[in-house]
Amino acid sequence: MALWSTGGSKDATSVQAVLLLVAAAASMRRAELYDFAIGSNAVSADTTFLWIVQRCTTAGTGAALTPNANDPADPIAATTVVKDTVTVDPTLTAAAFLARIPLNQKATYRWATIPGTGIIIPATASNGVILGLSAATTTLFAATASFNEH
Amino acid sequence: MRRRADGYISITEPGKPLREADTTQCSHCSGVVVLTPGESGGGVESRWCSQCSKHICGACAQHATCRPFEKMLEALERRNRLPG
Repeated sequence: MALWSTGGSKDATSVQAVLLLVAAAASMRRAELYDFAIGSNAVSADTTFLWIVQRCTTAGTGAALTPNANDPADPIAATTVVKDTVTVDPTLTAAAFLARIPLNQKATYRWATIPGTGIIIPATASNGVILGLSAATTTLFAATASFNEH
Repeated sequence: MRRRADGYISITEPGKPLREADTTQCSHCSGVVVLTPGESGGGVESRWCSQCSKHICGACAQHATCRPFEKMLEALERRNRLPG
């Protein structure tokens, strides 16, 4: 099973999404998010943000990232579309929260699970998940994610 | 039925000790469920779907029906597949 990792960040644009992972528009495969870490790379401040992992049904607008294979010898490329520096948030699925994480801006949060028991991104065009904030903000944040495809 | 932790979370914050907890996935929505210390490895059986015999989150526990996530995924992918 090929595994990929990617990291991204959010600039001062007022949006929710920090990192987007969505199925490709064509020839998509089911993907599974099994590890992510979130935090802020802004100047240290003692304030709280509510992080969310939420399902979305469109790809949003942002800078496309190329996920790196954990094993450079893996011969296949990921089909999952990953974006950061988002300028237009995707359409979020109401109440489809996979995690809601109140977190001090100074803190870093990591979730990891055994591959095979993670968060599934369906093999449906432009459907996926966002790692982001519950409300649009101009604060800088960063996130990293690891996933595989079935 | 024993509860099994599949995942793990950690929170690192300046001036505070490392905080850690076991997690598992909700069988109905695929959400991350943080297990309290007493739940990991057996014990409290709240938020457990007796129909699919898997963990579920608090939000899904409000629904009376068993809606396994895998079935929902299959339906979603089938609905969006191009005819052909």
